[in-house]
Amino acid sequence: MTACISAFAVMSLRGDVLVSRDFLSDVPRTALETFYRFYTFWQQENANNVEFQDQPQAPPCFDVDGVHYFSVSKSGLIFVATSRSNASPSFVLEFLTRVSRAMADFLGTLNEESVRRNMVLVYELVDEMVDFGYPQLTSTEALKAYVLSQAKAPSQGSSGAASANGMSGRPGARGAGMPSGGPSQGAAALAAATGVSNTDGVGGAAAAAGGSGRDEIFVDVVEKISLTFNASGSLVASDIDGAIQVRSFLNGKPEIRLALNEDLSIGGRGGSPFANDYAYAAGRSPMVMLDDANFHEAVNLDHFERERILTLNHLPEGEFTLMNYRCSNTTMIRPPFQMSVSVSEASSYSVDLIVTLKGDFPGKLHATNVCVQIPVPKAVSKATARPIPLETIGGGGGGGGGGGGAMQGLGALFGRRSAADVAEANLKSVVASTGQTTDYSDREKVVTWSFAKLPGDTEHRLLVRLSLSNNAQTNVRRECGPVNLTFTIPMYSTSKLGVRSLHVSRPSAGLGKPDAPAPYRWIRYLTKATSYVFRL
Amino acid sequence: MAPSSSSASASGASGGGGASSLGASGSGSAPAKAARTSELGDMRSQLGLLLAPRTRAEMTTKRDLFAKVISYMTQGVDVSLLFSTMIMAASAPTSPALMKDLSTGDESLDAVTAYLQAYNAILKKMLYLYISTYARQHADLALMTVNTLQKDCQHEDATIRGLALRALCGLKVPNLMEYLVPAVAKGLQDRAAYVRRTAVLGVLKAIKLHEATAANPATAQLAAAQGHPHHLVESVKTLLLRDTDPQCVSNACAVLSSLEGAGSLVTKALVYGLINRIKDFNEWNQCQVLHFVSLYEPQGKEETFDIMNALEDRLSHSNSAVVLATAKVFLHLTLPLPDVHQQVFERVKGPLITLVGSQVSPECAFAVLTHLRLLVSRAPMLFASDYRSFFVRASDPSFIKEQKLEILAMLAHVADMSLDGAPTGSVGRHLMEIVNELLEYVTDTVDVYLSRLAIRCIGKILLADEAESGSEDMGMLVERLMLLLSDDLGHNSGGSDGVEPIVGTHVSSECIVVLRDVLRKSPTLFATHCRDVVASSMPDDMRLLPSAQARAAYAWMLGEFADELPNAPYVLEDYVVSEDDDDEGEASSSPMASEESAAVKLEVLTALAKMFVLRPGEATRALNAGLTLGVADENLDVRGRAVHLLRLLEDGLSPTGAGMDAIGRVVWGGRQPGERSGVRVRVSDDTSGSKLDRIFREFNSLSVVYRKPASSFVSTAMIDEGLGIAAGGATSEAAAQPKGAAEEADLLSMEDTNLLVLEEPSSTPDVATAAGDTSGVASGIDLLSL
Repeated sequence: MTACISAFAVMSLRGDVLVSRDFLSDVPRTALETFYRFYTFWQQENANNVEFQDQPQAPPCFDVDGVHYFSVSKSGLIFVATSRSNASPSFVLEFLTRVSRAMADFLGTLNEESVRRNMVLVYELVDEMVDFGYPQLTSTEALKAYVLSQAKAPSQGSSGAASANGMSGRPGARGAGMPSGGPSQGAAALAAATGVSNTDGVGGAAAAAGGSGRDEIFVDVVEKISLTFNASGSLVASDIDGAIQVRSFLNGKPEIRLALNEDLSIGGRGGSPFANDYAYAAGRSPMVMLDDANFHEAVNLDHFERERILTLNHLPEGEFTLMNYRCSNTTMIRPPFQMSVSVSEASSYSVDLIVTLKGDFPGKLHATNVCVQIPVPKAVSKATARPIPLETIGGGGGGGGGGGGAMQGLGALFGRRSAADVAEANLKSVVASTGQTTDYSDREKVVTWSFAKLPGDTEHRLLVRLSLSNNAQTNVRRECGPVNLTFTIPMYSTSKLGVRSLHVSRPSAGLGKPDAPAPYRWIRYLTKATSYVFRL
Repeated sequence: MAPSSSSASASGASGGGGASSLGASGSGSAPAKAARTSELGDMRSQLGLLLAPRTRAEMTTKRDLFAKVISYMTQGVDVSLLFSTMIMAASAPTSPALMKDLSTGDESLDAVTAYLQAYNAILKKMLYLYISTYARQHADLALMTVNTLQKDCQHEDATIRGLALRALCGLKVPNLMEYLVPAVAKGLQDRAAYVRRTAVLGVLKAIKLHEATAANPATAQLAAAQGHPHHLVESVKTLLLRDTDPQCVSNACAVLSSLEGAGSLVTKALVYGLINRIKDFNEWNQCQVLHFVSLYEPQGKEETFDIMNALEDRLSHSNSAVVLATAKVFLHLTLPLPDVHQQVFERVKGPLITLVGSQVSPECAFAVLTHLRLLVSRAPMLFASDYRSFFVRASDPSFIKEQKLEILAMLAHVADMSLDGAPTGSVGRHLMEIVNELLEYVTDTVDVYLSRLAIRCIGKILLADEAESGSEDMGMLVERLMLLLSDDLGHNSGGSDGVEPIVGTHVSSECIVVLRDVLRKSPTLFATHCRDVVASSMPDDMRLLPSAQARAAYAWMLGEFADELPNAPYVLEDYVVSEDDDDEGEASSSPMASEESAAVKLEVLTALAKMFVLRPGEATRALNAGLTLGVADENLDVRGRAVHLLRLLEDGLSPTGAGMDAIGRVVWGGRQPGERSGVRVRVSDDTSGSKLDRIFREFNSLSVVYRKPASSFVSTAMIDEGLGIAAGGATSEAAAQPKGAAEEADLLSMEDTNLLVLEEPSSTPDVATAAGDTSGVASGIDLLSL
């Protein structure tokens, strides 16, 4: 591990060099152009290279004439590092990712415009983060002492766009800037927070609180789920990749104690050789079983084994991931959506598909941006799709509002539906899902069925009529699909992992002085489908 | 890559950035240039007026002007005109008027001082950025700055001291060495850790500068006069042992290891000291420390376990670089202890699989996956129950999908283990689940590349040494493949509106290639599973196949199984003989004449010769036409093959010749014509054992991603000196180099054969393979001379 990074640059997707810093001067000046050519035209550049055959996309690290190029794409920017030594790829790639995060922390929103507007700040950051190819200060709080420029707020037009991006990507738009930022930056952060509130259903209060004092902390439990169902509707593969993400705007240097489910088990089976298995209490079968987890370096695990409490003695500033976890135990997962497709022959030239989609999560909650994509056979000349009127199951969808309070969602989260809950749901009028649309693209041969908002515990049906160009009724069912589903469910965690409590403790203000009021603590959940596939 | 070097074209495209009225028009037309010069002049005079700002507003204007200069500079506009003004403006003392203006508010004096301090630091930073960009191009200007920088190195504010020192070290101007060395030496003794960190790296910069100066004949004399800054290194060594700041220690490690080889540094005391305080280091420095530890050779089992226990919790870090660095330490430490080594695999795999899925970025996941691939290739058994983790997700980028499929191919033949560790299910169930998953990818209508990869992956499973060709599973797999092929060949496209007609899609194209390779390995499968499908669904017109690879593979099948495919001679005849030939002697071009790929022509020629041996009566006309075309071909290989076959036939069939049988043995690669015996087919990427070992020793480096030992892609000087030690350090660098080159050549030849290599020892090379061409000719002649 001799000096690994020769030069660093940030490029736009169009190939403009926004930022570039040369540390070792041992790569040619044209290196960035070479990089961009290969990055963009990987397939053409490697047309005669059997090793890469027909790879459609450049890998994150590649070698051209002895110069090794590493790249990470984030927010429409390419973070590039070059090297001549046999560096550790994960080291360089993780570092590039870290640089992009630090920039996002300091700039409020990370995009081409914000980088251009804050050129001096960005150079300051880069110079503190890496010297002569070696990473130096990297944590946001350490950098804050040395990075002195203040971020300029983006112009009005792009601010809206930025927060719109944020809300589709993550629960808390990464918007909010540094607490120490000037008033203009605070405004930018606030704008981003409001952008979130409209979709989350929880951010509204957060945004209101955000204006005053900003003594608050956001803890987001974000789960990306990948489930695959076979033709008979049973789960063949499942993966939950979860993360507890924290954004802190707390004053002072408090200690944080975060308690997770008591019945949490990690790596419960297959004892590890080095006594790392967190044995769970005897006689109680764990409710939440994770395969594995890793933690941010600031986390103190002393109280984790017995009490499931994560302690942070010094809280990193900015946004960071407290814990990553993985859960792939098929039997433990209750899939939030079920789907079935039935095929019937309408005439010799047309076939009907009836697609049934069932939201199998508590009726109090709702999924947003639900999109079902159904590929149809190539032989289809025309397809029409129309929803069949809504039938409700189990008393219909509860209110669309997803629990305004922060802690309130917990009961719903664990799916413990009491009789009272059901009765309440029955009393409410049936709230239909909103923003239901259907679309068919003839070029791609895909039927798209989407909902802006879909309440839990409801069933929806879609009738798709396919007209076939020839009556060669090749197996329509086999040529359809796989159906891909994307959605986001706020305030829901599929693994049932939950935050039991969150304590912020500060050293007492001293004798006679009143302690500062308890800070706002926001705990939010989000389940997001990355790959939710039904095979037909 | 310095900002100034970003070329005019690059900066030209960046228009619209910044709030500059100049824009970034790199076109450089004369009026634009004049306008720019005048604007720069304006900026200079404005700055001149603001040397010592008197009000808060003036301070802001001054800072904005600085920012504007930097912004132009990064866009490639030459702003060196402002050099002296910038230096003066940044180092001007605070005017009393300003202090008065600032103190009128209700802020305390402390707040005002802090504000001023931050303000000055920002100006300095911009100035240093500016200087470092222009110093190398204008060495004369750089000299001007030295005075300022030296003064700033004594500044009361530690941040400014550090910044100035960094800027001074970054100038890279040889004749400034005499100022640089004392400044660095002083910095190493500084109270503030921030300055010491910078100074430590400054030592390395000074030494590199000295070396570069000495290496350049023009400046060698200067370097000799200045002398090597040895004494600085001694101070760094002291720092390494004594300093309390982790970043300083880590920088010291980095400097010393890049100077004299890490090996000499690694002592027990140092390693233990570093391990004990590893949590004080940040994640990047932990990687540096872990790298050091991986160089240490413990004095026995006890020590090995001590180190591993101390580092164990690093495996649950969320940074993949730390986890991989820890994994490397564990794997290397336990190499001499096979049973523990295996446990390390078990211990490491969970965290690595978690990192693949964690949300940081797909790029990092890729780096981890390549390492998992290496681990799986070394011990597939240990990953038997984890295959589902490598199923592809719709959201995975293609580079992730590739890695996952390769791992799946390796896991397919591993016996399934139940959770308790006892084998329960047969290999078959496990294999079937992977294959079914792959078949789903094949029919993926969205991602064509994934579909191709999946078919190739099925091919690898079939070709693996573990795959017994006679087994039920393999037979079933071939049948699935045939089903895919015949289904896909039903898709017709084109054929009207001037579009060339095509049968099938990429699916059949890949299937045919896989089928060819499978049949080469186990030809008996042809009779049991393939004959009917090939006979009934493959098109009679070879042109209809969607790709050259597919046509070449089809031609091979037609020749190899000429005795089992009734229409084989006629398919080939249609391909080599032009249509009009039947009626008149008019020579219009045959399909083969318009074929672009030499690989197809080569296969067709060989197939014709094979067919001639088996069915001489039906093949003569086609063979004649084919050889005529081949001899006249513009491609050297094709011509060579045609001439070779021609001689072979002429000599063989002459009254004194060896006869048809001898010809048959040559074109059938030593077998009896039509004999059904397979050859061992090796998939190119399971590289040789020794090479894999070398890559494994270079764990956590690019070698794993490229699947090549470092010697084949990094120049010897750059190879990390520490990497080879686990091997006993027997291979010297000099010896490693030619070996690497040889292996590269080896790799190249594999590529030529379209991912397949025939087993070397086979005494009579198969003429039918493209790579066997030259050797085939040689041995053919040998045979004839017998």
